[in-house]
Amino acid sequence: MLTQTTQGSLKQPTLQLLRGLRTKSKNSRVATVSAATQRIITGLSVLSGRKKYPRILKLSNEDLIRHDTIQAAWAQYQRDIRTDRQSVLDKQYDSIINAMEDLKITNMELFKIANKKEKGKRFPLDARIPVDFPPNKVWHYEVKAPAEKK
Amino acid sequence: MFSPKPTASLSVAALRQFTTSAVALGKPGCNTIKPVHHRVKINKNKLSHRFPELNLSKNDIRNPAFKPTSTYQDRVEEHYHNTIASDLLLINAQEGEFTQFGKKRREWDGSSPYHLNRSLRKPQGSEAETLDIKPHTASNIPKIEAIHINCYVESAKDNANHALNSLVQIQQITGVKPKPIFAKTNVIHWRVRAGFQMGARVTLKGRPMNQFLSTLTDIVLPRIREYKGISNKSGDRTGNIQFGLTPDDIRYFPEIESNQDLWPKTYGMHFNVVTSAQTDAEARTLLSAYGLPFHGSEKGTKPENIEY
Repeated sequence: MLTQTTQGSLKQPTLQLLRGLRTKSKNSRVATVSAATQRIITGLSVLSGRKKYPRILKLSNEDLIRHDTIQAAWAQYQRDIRTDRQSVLDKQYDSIINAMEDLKITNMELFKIANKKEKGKRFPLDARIPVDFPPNKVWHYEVKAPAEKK
Repeated sequence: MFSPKPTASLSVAALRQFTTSAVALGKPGCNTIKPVHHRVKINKNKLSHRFPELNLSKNDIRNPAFKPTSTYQDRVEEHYHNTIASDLLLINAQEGEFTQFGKKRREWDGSSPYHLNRSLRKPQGSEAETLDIKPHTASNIPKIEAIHINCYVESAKDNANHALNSLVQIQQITGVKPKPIFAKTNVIHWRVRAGFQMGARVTLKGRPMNQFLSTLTDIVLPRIREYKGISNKSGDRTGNIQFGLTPDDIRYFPEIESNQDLWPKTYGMHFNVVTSAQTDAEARTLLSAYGLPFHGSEKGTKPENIEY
């Protein structure tokens, strides 16, 4: 349906489409939810991966070749690190076994002590994983455990 | 099933359907071969020609789901390779080790004719088979492989919002998208019905796992009041260690603590640390290197021999 609006005699009357017009006020169309429900909706929107993907990179053929070359080089670098690491460990294992065999020949009693299974071995609790910004005081040595109740 | 008769081939070809050629051959309409095409699930998205990028692997940069992974230095992983691995090799390696075979299912002695097709006897002194323990070498040094987090929320049976909140909570703590868990069966006196959404679970691997471990050992566990540590009795005998945190402990995670008013209720959860260690004792030694504390007596070890 079309209606004419006359806002002034000098102006050209403008045509307005009624069908697309909003009949109710904007606020009444929004479903109102309780604060708790709204919190859950917000939380779930954190989970959803939709709309969070960045735009797909547009790569030309040259870009793609460049990217693949760097990827291949990085993978090779990582592979080298891995093989180096493993070869060091293999050497360490061989030297452990060699030392034990030497000890076996030299002193059987010491060998038995050295070759015992270390069950219940623990790393010290105050050993830290290195971080970029360690605290100034790493460990509070003076803290004592409270005396146990009897 | 076909019979290879050349005479009937034309009419067979005309009448034959996918799995029922038997009727056309004048046999009873029963096929003993199971239809393959009903069992193989076909992802039809993959067959579409419209989005060829989606068929590329996830680590191909042209795939819309591509996500760069090595974007930061992983100090925990480096610590494992620089320090822990060689120490563990020294602790575990022994001279003259052989494979110790685990308890396996046994043959029946054949004293009864019914033994013939009976399934094997259960292992001696055990309900289930146990794994072999192989010599400890440089190629099987224990390593943390994954952390499974499981959060079952009992109150979700009355209010499904609790299950949704637990999903968000795990996502906040770990930074990894969790999966919902559902009740599998009706449990009448728990008032739980099959299909209820009852919580969340997630499997952490690689960088998110290391990040989570360092948060746990540096921030959360030291602040829990009177925290004794993981029980030395914990473990599933194959080198995986389990422990749990209460809803109050969860509040110490920095993501939860900085938004206290958003979290009127938190949910406790269970952790299963999957390691490649062959026994639980070795797994505990490995976990202690990451700063996880242990308490209690360890089976097969005198209390005075446990080092802390």
